[in-house]
Amino acid sequence: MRPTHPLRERGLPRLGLLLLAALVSIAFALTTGSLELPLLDWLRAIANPGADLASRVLWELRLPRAFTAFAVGGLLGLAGALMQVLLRNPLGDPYVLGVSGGAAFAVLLAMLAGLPALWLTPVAFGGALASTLLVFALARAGQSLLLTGVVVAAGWGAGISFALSTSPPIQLPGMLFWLMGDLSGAPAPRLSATALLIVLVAALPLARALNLLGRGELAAASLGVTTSRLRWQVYGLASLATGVAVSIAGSIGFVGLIAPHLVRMLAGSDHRVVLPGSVLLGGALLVFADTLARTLLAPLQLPVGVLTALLGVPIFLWLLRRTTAGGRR
Amino acid sequence: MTVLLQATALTLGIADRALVNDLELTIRTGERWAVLGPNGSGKTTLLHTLAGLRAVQHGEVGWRGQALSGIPRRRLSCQLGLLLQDDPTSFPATVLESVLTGRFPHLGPFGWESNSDLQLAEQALADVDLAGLSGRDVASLSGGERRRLAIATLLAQAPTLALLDEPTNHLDLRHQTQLMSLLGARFGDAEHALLAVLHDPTLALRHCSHALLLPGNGSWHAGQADHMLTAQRLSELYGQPLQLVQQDGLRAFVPGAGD
Repeated sequence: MRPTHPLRERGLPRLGLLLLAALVSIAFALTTGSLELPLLDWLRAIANPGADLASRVLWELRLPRAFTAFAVGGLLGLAGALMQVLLRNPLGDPYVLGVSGGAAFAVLLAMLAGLPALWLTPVAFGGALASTLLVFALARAGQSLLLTGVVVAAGWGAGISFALSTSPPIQLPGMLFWLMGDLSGAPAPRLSATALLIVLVAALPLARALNLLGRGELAAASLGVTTSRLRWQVYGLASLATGVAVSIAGSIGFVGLIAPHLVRMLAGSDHRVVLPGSVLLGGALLVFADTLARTLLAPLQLPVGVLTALLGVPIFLWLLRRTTAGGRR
Repeated sequence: MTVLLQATALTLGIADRALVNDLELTIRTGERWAVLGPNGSGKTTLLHTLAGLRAVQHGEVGWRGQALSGIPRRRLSCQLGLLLQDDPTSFPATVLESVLTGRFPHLGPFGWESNSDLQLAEQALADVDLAGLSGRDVASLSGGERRRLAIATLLAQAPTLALLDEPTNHLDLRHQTQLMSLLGARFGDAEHALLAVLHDPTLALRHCSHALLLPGNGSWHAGQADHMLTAQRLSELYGQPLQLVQQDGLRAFVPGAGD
């Protein structure tokens, strides 16, 4: 009997499904909005850039926004997957652990100091990295790490409130919207897509070592993983992903928590599948949520962070019930 | 008989307490070592140090004549395996995914498990009586099944020297006996070696050729099992009277009545 590789049997075909979901979400985003046309007209518009109103709406508004949403969602999903294996806890997430909070606080300070927009991404990365290091320095094992993260996140929350209460009233609405997680500002498809590509390409070679890290640090080390180096790589990549996502779209919760969780349920827990799968599903979820955010109460645009939380809370509670109820599958 | 692992003047301690002073230990191919001692006497610390997972403060540990600390982790893991005392609660993974991690050191960073890796993994699962469970989530296994899964992972790793920290933990009597025979067959031949921390001197008597006794006060005794595993030495080691009982060619240590 020739055994089949578990990835070939299950993981890779399911990854194909997730790719399909990502494409469907983008098609949904491109064809949904105040301007409604038959599907065939959209295809014509996409083939002729700049020809008419439809193609301009598509190329100048919806496509950049959908791509930004996808890349930001992908970054958050990837950061969540990396954090979860580092904590060996499926409840890890840049938002829960205060990584987003650190990035958001740093960006707010930079805004108050009047730094140019170009600086916001590196500042966010610095804030995310500082917060990650703080959390991991304060706690060095399993459960308490998560609790420490939650407490540090609360601390950043207080810092953010302080910064808001001292900022000039005219800047407040914009800051608040951005804090809630918002993609309606200037879309940054190039920046976010480049960051996503860099982080994914750097993370994929670590995938098999991450599988081992999931079995515990000693077990991983005894099987040949240089765990200290791997930890630093994961800290850096997760912080980079979170920092870029926060600087573009503010703090968006639940995507990083739920996407890797669902991917593991669907496609197994081998990180060679979980990492790209979390990118695809995180991206698809955020594109979907952002499309709802700009159309549900149109012409009013909701911050997408509100929607991901509204969708995320019930999904997460359902996942939690499933996992604690016993058999995972 | 090749020298695999060698400890020279190795001193181990936790905090200010000396556990083992100036240990001299040489493990050669074909040898099956038992490490015996009361709780907290430094057995696990010794194993982790011999596996290169704990920095050596005093003394040296060598692998095939080379300093252990100078050998890249991945290369060392192809030849030196360690079974941990406890498997921490695992991140979600299936049984097969878990066993396949044993192949990690043998593959490059972009390596893909080949058919022969998969066959090794399946065989290892069959060896520990877990065939047919390969798709199950690790979290759904019982304590004994999880123990056997960890041993299967070590078998898939296929090291030359296996360091085993209480391999029979959580196992029922039948699996204890089966497992010790299996480990003896896999690591007890002329090309391999094993060193196992055991809490049952009878298992050591039946399955090991050599023994290292660690009382935990700094002293140590190492040598052939015949010389080490006597009722007198073991009674002293554990601070508990033990008797050697023989019947039908089988020997066993039984605790004598307390005071």
